Amino acid sequence: MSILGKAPVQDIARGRDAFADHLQRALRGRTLDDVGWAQPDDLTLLVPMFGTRPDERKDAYMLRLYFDHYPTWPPSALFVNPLTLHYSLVEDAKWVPNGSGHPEIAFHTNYSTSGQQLICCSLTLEFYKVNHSVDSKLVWQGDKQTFMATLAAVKRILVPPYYQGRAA
Amino acid sequence: MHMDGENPDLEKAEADLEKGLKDLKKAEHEIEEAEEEIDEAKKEPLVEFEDVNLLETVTFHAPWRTTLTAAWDEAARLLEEPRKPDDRLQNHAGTDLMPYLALTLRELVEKKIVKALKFQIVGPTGGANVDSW
Repeated sequence: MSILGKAPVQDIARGRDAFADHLQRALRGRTLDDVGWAQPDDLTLLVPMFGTRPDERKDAYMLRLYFDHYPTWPPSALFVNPLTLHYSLVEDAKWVPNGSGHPEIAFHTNYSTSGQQLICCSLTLEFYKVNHSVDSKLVWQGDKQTFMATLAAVKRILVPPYYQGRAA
Repeated sequence: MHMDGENPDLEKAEADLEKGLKDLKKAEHEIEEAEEEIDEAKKEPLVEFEDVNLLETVTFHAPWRTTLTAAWDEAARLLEEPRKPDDRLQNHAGTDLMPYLALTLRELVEKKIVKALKFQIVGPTGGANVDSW
């Protein structure tokens, strides 16, 4: 059943179970340490990411996924301050990548002056919370997609020619 | 015993020996060919394809001359998941590999398009369209 046009509904118990299952499958026998991820609680996944500039220099970022609406809805996805693991407008804008020109994804440090960060992509929960329009065939499908698709999508704009450095 | 010095047993033994030597030479040649095939197979790189939606990964050896699209076809066969028109390939860093499907695995590495022969099969996403603001 499509989630298009519906308001996201939290389901912590289901999110916890689905996240645990998908995480084990994504790890393929490896540990969190093996892949460099961290799981501070049973609904959160921290994933270090790198933005690659044209000269191959890299900038480090921390993506925080949260699974309280998962898998009916995609995971919440935000770039956070790696020290506080939270995002606060103005002081933490430097922890958000600046990417431009990609047709499928964009990063906003202050979406529509709401004070909220938005990873503008149909594979993040926030995309639906702001009621962003999207082609019906591109809507998240909880029975077919996993958080690995979210990670893969975010990475697409962290490489040349899209990645431009830090947002601030 | 033959008076003229001929010995049929000896002639037969010599013929058998000659045939045996030929067979041995043929067997040695076959062994050499098999060893070359094994060596060639050992040189074939291991490629990995991960379907990020299925959460399934397949790895297999493929000749360096294999094109990326042919390797993707093989991965789809092993995953038992046909390629969909909107599917695309990227590497683990996020680089779109769709412009390079016709290149061979060797060319992908030599042209430094990829550092490792590890690929992700991903679908399209929505967002960032100007008309959707």
